[in-house]
Amino acid sequence: MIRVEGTAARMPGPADTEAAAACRKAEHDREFAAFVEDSYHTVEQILLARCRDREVVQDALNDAYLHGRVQWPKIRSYAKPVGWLIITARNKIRKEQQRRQREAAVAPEDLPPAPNGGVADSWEAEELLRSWLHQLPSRHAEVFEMERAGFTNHEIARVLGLAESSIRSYKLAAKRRLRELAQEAGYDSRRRPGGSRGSR
Amino acid sequence: MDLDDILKLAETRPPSSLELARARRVARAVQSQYDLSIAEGYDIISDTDVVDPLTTEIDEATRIARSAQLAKLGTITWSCGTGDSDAFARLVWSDEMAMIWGHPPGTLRLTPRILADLVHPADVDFVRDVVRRAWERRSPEEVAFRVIQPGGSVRHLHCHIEILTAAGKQTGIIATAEDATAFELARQERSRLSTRSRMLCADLAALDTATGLPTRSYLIDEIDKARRTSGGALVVVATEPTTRLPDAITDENHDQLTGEVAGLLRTMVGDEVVCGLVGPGLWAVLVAPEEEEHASDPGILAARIVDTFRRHLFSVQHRTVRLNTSAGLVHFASDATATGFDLLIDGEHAARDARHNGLPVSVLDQPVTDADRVDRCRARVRQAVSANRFALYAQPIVDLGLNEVTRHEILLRVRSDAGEPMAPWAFLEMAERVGEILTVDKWVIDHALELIGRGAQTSHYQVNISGKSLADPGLLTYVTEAIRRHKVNPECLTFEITETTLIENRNGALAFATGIRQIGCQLALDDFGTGYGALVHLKILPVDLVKIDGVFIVNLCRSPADQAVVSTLVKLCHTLGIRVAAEYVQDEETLTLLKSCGVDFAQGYQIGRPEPIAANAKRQVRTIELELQLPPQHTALG
Repeated sequence: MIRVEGTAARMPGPADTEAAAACRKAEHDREFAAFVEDSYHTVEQILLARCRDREVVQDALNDAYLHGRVQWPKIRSYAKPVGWLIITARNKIRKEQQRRQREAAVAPEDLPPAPNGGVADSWEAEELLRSWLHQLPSRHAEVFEMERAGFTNHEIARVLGLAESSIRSYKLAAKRRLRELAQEAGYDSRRRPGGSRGSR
Repeated sequence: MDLDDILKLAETRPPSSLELARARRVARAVQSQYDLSIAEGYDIISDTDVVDPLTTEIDEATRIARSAQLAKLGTITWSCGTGDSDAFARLVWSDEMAMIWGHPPGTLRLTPRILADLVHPADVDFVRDVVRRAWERRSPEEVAFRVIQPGGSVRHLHCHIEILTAAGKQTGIIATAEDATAFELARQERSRLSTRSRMLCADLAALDTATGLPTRSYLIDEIDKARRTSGGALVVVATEPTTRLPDAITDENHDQLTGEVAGLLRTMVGDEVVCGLVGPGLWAVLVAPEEEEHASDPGILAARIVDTFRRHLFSVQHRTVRLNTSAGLVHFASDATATGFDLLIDGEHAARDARHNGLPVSVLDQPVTDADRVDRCRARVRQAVSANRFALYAQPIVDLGLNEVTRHEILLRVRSDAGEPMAPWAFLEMAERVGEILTVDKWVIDHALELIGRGAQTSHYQVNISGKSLADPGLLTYVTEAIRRHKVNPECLTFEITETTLIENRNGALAFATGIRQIGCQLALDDFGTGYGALVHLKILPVDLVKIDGVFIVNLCRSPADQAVVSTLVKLCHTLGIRVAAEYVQDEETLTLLKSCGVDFAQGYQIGRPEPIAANAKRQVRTIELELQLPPQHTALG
């Protein structure tokens, strides 16, 4: 930003428009930085519902945010820029997965085992939840995570490219399966408080 | 704690400071890359749509199809007409979808009937049901099915079916699909591999159950390997109780004694040396040249074993038993032409010589010549036959349909030098190898039929004949004559062909099989499933009964692989009009399982042990000893 001001200072002629452009850019930069900090965690969470590989998710995020920055002048005016960002990052992940043929190679039964033992803090809760989400069909898992991140049915349908009428069913199916998985792992309040492997 | 608690707990998590730092780092990296691109004047190429996905007004079907296209997925849209009628008006597929189904884009005008014709005939009804259900319930469905491409090749598709709505009204159906053939094949292969590893069994035949030592066939293979590679020495130890064992002795007592000898042998030779039981009261130890401890002088080892066995007091039923022991030692070079089996016979003969001469060990510096070995074996078999050194036992066979004993198998026992009846397998194998099995088979047929003829003939009797004997053109006449002479009802006789591997003359076997059935007897194949070319015998031999080999039965309850073999074999045999029997049935559980598989007959210790045959004949109470004192009868006919 200092560089921008310096350049502007040296230019006398069309300084007004240049200065205005620099000013706008600086504003966009600030906005964008805030947008990244605000959305990164949510988007990562949603992408991880579909893709187990954290590295792939992070690479896709870097790329998507870079494009986001290029297009920021347009995107900033969207009702929810984060929707566009999720779509972009998802497409990048899909391309990467097609390239690696990953889905065919990894059997569901080869999934890393769910962390067992008690759930002591919110981080462990998150990890446990994710291990269960990976056992769901990816559509169900993504819908579920987006709902948790506070998106409406309309928004979820548009971001994930699904019919609006499907979202409710996917949510219910996800919730039902997650409850089963939780019960299998011993988290079931109906059996006895705390569950058989309950919290410490 | 349940799912809701976990969700709530996960919800409370604000991004940690570390995660916030990462977000900021990403923001900074992106920003500097962007600034650099501006400063250096290159464009970051963005291939993404720049429209607000959340607010752009677009028809739902188009929106889904577009996003599917981005993901390289195909779509089929089936939409209602614009009017109020419920009829479906338009059916279209995307270019990507057309290609998945093997059609160039835009060449096919789809109708529901054409589409249904492209789906695999076995899947089409199911797919139709799923689509109908989705429409009626207004909920998404998932379906996997196969399509047939124009060239006839089959692809697996995975398809999401969703219901399109506009203003709360159902306006159509959209299916998003991908070619899941690679995925499906990988899944099938995974499931096949996991089945295979679940079904694969350890080679139970390699270890003997009573001794825990390698079996005879394993030992023969090892000796054979040694004579082809390193050469070495073979010690054969013959043991026999010095006093006659009490009559009340059971098979468990026998096994216990055998186990005790095996344990003693193992501690003497060490874990590295190959050793095992090679015949009743016959033990073999293979000493390879690289064996440090014993190779320098195997004679010392043999003498030590004999000495230890002679001194040791074994116990049977709380009585002490001594073993009369002698040993034979055969040295063989790395280029020995004698086979593993031959060397074993040489060792056994040497051990007999040692006993005969009152020596502990008799040594052969090299294997005996083939001619001498064969001569000696033949002489032994002929001598055993002429001296009636055999006994016949009968083991009950239960008809599982009637749940009662309706048959008996006549079994041969060979008497040892001390007169003890022994299991005949080693003797029979030797007789088969030297071509003397026909003599033994004729003895069995003649004596078995005589005993049956004297009895009430209320049961059905199964008599064994070696596959090798079937080559003899005179056998059928011999059998027919014996049946007539002993006045046996041919319909209560079944001849079991053992060692089907050894059927050397197929025409001869077929002639015997056909002839024997013409006179009213039945034909069975013994030890089915372990020989070679066994299935072809079912096709060409007029077999009435198949006896499944015991290796498939002993572990039946615990082995899904054995269950698969037995149940499928039963189905196969019944289709071919053949009845099925199972041997080695040792417990009630196995019996129940065999019944549920549809097996017709069962035989084994669970049903009854082999008993001396005289106890079986109802009219005459004669002991087997009496029978053996009879002079050989009508041998001139053989």
